[in-house]
Amino acid sequence: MAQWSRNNRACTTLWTTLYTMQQLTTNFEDSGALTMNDLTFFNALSGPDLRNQESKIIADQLDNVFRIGRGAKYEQGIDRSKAISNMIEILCDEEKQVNELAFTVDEAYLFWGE
Amino acid sequence: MKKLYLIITCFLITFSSFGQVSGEQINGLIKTLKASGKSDETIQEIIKGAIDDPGLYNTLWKEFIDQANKQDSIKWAFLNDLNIKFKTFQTVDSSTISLGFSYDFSFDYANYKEKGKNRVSNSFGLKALGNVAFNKKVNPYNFLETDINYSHSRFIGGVVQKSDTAYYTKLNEIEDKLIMLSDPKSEEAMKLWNEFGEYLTLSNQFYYSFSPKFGLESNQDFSVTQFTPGIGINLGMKSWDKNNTLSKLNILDYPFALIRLITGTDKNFTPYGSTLPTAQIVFDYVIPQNDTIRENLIGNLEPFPRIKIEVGFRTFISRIKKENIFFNANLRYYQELSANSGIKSADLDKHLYFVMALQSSSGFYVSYANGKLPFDAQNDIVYSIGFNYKF
Repeated sequence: MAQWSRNNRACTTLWTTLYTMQQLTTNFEDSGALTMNDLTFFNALSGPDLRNQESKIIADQLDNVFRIGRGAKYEQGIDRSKAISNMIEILCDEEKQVNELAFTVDEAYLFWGE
Repeated sequence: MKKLYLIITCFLITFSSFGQVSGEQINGLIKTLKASGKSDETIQEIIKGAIDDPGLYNTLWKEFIDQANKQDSIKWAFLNDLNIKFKTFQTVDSSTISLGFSYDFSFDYANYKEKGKNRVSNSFGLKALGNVAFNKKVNPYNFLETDINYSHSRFIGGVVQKSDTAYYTKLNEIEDKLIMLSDPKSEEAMKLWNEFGEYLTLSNQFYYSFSPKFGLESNQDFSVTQFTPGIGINLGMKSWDKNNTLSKLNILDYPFALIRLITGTDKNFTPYGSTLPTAQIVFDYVIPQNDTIRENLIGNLEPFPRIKIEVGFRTFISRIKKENIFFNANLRYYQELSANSGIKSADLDKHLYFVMALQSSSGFYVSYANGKLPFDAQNDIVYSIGFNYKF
């Protein structure tokens, strides 16, 4: 797994994006080890339909911010469908960590300046 | 005593492999306890406590999944979509406690396309959820749902396009400063976040989907079952900009915005537009199969239309030391349309179930549930305080 690092643009962009989306309040260093149920969207009391719906909204917005707001492109062999499906798989799993999401994001997007 | 049970549970897990606790290991534990001078009665109580503790089974289940994934991650991939939690069940009018589990499984195959400004997805899915108590008489949530569905979804808004590469460079520069700060809410950080917001403008995001589906509902022993073909409408919206009017309209978040202000989590009274509730409205045509209560009441098992509404809400309350505290709520409402007077007088035409919980990131929770689900004979009020262990 990729390390949660200040030198990885996928990690830093994911952190600022989740922060501006009010999903976390921690500093960069402490955020990598947060699990999905530490993020604001993850309602453990909801049924799978609503939780899946929340995950789709978050994944769609992450994709929006990365590409439209931050100038990222999809990596070779990756399209919107694959990028979002991979993010949703992580977002729906309460035990997955933010650094695992960053790893998935890093595999799917080539960030501006990388 | 609970602490002791936990230690024993850990002991059992340490010596377990692939989720199996052998008789030999239990005998070893008994010998250890005897050697430490514990009486037979105490040992029996300790073993019973460990065996009745859902924490033991949750840990073994997790161990099983981890081992299965290590052995063959493709073959056992479906386990990642299956969420099982062992727990104890007790109804408010009974002192009997039963071990059991809740499960939910959700799998869908989806594509996400972008055509111009439209973002759409089409998916096929399978979903199952429910609660099973090993002693079915003490299950306050005796309701299982399974369905297959197709879903067409549409996403609108979220980010204002700037299309200026200088903006991207500037955002990277600000980001490089923000990640170095230990307090992301410090005065210096707030200035940087404000500058960041000048270059990255978030807008309101809307989501809706239509989902034709075919479902089966039952109680846990399938003595009552009904098919539920229908169509679901899912609705969601998020206001990502805290100054947007839609954020200020999130009145559900007002009490928590006040707590965040009082505890210093937020510098100003700031309702979060990111926590606007999501909702699902389902129109079902219910076809009862086995339901003796209904048959006795109205003399037949004719199909009937029903509306179901589910709403979920969760918000951030505060961060205390290293703990994030969240408030979670979920409401489910079922209403039979044009119900027969016999059904109405028996109070079976509508079912309301509400649950809310305070939850910390380390696993501590306090919850309150009230109401009944279809097939439940009566309202149950359930309070619980507990701890979800993260091993």
